Amino acid sequence: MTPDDRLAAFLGEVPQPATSNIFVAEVMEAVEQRILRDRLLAGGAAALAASAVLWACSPILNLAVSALAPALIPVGGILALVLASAMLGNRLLVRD
Amino acid sequence: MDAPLVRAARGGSQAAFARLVAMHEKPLRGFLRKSGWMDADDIAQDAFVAAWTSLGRLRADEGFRAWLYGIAWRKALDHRRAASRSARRDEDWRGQEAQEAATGVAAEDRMALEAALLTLPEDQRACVTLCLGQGWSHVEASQVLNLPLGTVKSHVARGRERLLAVLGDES
Repeated sequence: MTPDDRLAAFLGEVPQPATSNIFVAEVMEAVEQRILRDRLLAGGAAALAASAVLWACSPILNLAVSALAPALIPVGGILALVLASAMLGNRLLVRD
Repeated sequence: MDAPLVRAARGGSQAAFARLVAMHEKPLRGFLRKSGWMDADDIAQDAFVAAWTSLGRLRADEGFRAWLYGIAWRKALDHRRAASRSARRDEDWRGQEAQEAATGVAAEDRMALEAALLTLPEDQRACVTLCLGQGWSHVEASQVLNLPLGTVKSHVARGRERLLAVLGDES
């Protein structure tokens, strides 16, 4: 081995393979943490934007709800009745 | 060779990125260690995570290796500024150095070379490690380390001379 070869061998040394799997796993764990953090930040930002939009539209929404509510009361009553009958019927079927 | 994996990773494939990490981690950590960074593994990990988050900014997929090393080098310089050292990592690193000693260079050469390497300026050490240890061209090293080509050439020549002198070769 020439001195140049010895020098290149020394400078080109890499970590042992045994440590590589641990290192790759650590990197991928850090990547997943970063992805989760980014998703949480994006979700938080979206929720914030949606709440700002709803807050800005709240006067119109209030008007719409108060106008529609009287008309929706009978529909809501019927739906509640249907739901209650379905649940009761289901229980009876299960007992049989 | 990296391009298909880079494209897949950019599309969100963690498996593809894990393969990229597995392909590049050893030489990158080796480069950082030989360049004298005691917290080389932390720097390498930070560099890979930064690479994952900014893959969209990589223009040429084939240039992944040089781009990654550039990120790692900048991270290393940032780490030096932060100057935080982990005793556990240091111990691990020394242990691994001892393991490596069993595989290649003779112990007396290693000790002399390690001591000599530490006397080289930081940039020179990085140039020598990349060009002589990992076979990079001077142009690649100058791009990654953000140094003029002439500086890289002179760093490599002077570094080689000093390290060979330690091995008893004055040529």
